[in-house]
Parts: sequence; structure tokens; C-alpha cells
Amino acid sequence: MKEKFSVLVQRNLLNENQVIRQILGICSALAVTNLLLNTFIMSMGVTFTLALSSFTISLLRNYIPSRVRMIIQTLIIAAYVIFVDIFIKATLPEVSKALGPYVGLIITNCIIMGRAEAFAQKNTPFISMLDGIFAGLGYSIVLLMVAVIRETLGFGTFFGIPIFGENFDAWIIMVMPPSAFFIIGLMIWAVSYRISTRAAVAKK
Amino acid sequence: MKNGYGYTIFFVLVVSAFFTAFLAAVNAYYLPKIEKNKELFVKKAILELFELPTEGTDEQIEQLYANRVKEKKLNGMDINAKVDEAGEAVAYALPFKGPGLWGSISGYVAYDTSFSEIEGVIFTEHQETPGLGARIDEKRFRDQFKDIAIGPTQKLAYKKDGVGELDAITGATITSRAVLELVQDTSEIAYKSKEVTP
Repeated sequence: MKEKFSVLVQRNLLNENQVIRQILGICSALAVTNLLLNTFIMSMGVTFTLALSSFTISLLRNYIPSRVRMIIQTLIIAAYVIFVDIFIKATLPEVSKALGPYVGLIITNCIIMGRAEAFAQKNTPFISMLDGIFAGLGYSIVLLMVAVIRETLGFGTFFGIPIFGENFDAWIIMVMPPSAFFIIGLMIWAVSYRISTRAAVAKK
Repeated sequence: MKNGYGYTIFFVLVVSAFFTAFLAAVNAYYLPKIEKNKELFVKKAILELFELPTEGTDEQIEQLYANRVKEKKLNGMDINAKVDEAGEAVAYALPFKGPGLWGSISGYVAYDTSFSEIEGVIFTEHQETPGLGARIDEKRFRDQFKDIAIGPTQKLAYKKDGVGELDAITGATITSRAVLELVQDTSEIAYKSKEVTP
């Protein structure tokens, strides 16, 4: 099952976007998106883990005993996530404090296990890594879009830089996780609507 | 062969050993840097507690800390003193650590030099619930402890207890109680040290 590069990109970024089409990785999407900087670091962490774990799992796919397949996948994913966690703690202590347990929780992010099981198990290492990178970018784009809305309205800033005047009245709801719930809900609706109307047009 | 017990066990051992070694190496490499970050974080917290500026580069923070904060001993306990330009102590910070809701809470309480009133409270580590217990970090909550006189009969209490002046955090009763108890205990130690010069 060879897949064209352009198809792979389009599939991961839009048609089968992990967050708004597959509805995976929602917990972190709600939790870390109130500041752009945190969201950006989290997105990088997820993309990095996805790329490397998909690559490694694909590399070992013919040697992993099927009986312990999933536990080995988890082990590989956990190793990369702990690496990311230590790296952020050492280089960006403030961000690490703000992200709290969420970096460690990348281990249980369904997207990574999902790509490992659905793609890396059956494909060669290089293409698996690309799949991981683009699945991660699909996740990142959605999270960053949510974060732009939440940070500008919730704090009146963009990457920490104030963009509205002093009289700006911050929307408290935007700082709290439920706002991401509504924003992502609207995004899911918009994208599903577009894809289903397109499919209907194509049928005719 | 791929699904035999021997192979499975061998494979798991090799893969685990490899990744464990990888992480151990990464950890050993970054540990000094992480420790340094932690130290700097505590220094910043103490500066904030003493109402000194906490903005600036890491070097500036270290410099300011070295100039304005001295480590002292109080009855064998390590404490920090805020000193003025001349090197005279103007306030003391006593560390505390005790149980919160999910894990231990640690931090410092600042007192004036005669140990007669609280000058501030700050937390350096806790695992309280974000949005509820974690709100103890907010200035509005911490500032309530400022200027409270301490003494042999002084008991800190929340408004909801009927006798107190302090506002507890809604939805975080256990955390609020734990914090109150920690500040109370620290204040008792401080008061007892009234006659001792650190």
C-alpha cells in the first residue's frame, strides 16, 4: 500500500486530521491551548515524539513479537516522551512548569499509539516518519488555531505581546478549558460540513 | 520462532535495556542543568517574597540574590535573611514543607526581624489541583497573610470558621486548611525564636 506524498500530506493535515476528524488527542488540546507559547512547545513535543516513535516502531516492525507488540510500542513512545520532558525541563523551565504533567501525558496521547498501530506497523521507516511528522503538524495547526483565539481573547496578547489597548476586557472563559471545547466543536462541525457537502457534490 | 517465549523475552530485555540506557544517559547529561534551574527558581521565589525585583537575566538574579539575601541559621534551621545595602538583616524567611492534598507543599514565610508579624508567604513546590488548590500561588491569596501579628495565642483562621479574617479558596478546602496549618506551625517556630538572633 504505497501512498503518494501529496496524498499523505493532505490526509494528515485535513481529511483525516487527528484532532478534528479522528477526534484524538482532545485532552491536551483542551488543556494546553490558553497560551500560544505553551501550545507551540507542546505541539513540537508531540510532533517530535510522533516522528521518532513511528520511525523506530516501523524499523522494528518485523522483529517485534506480536504477543508483546503494544507494550513495546508504549515503551518506545515513553522513552521519547521522557526525553522531551527532560529536555524541556533543562532548557525551558518556565514552560515546563506551565505545561505541568501534560508533557509526560504525551505518552498516553492516542494519536501516537494510533499512528503506530495504523501506519508504522505496516509501512517502511521513512514513510512512517513522514506520516508521523504530518500527523503531528495536523495536530499542531489545530492547537495553534485554538490557542490564537484563546490567548488573544483571554489575555489580550499574542505570544505574550499585548495587542489590544489597556482597556481591553479579557474573556475569562477563554482562559479556561471549556472554551477550547466550544472552539474545537465548531471547527469539527465546519470541517465535517465542508467535507460532506463536497462528497455530495462529487456523487452527483 | 518470532512468537516463541525465548525470543519474546530476549527481545523485550534487549529493547528495554537499550531505551533505559538511552534515558539514563540523557538524564545524566541534563541533571546539573535541571538542578540549577530549580535553584534559580527558589532564589526567584525568595526575592519575590522579600519584595525585591525578579526581572532580568539569570546572572542578574544570581547577583541580586547574592547581594541582598544571606543564608543564616536559626536554632539549627537554615533560614534566609533579607539584608539592606549595608548588610543589616531587615527580614527573615523560614522554610516550611508539609502535606497538601496531592503531595507536599513547600515554601517560605517571611517575618520581620523581631518575629512579631508575617511579612509574606510564597510557595515553591506543590501538586495541588490546577484551577482550585493551585490558586494558593495567586498574589491575592498570599497577600492576605501580610501584616498578621504572631504571638503565643495567635491562631490563624478563615472567615468561614467564624473567627478568622482570611478568605479560603472555594473548592479547595483541604489545600486551604493545609496551607493555614503550615503557616501557623512556621509562625509558632518563629515566635519561639523571638529571643534568638540568627
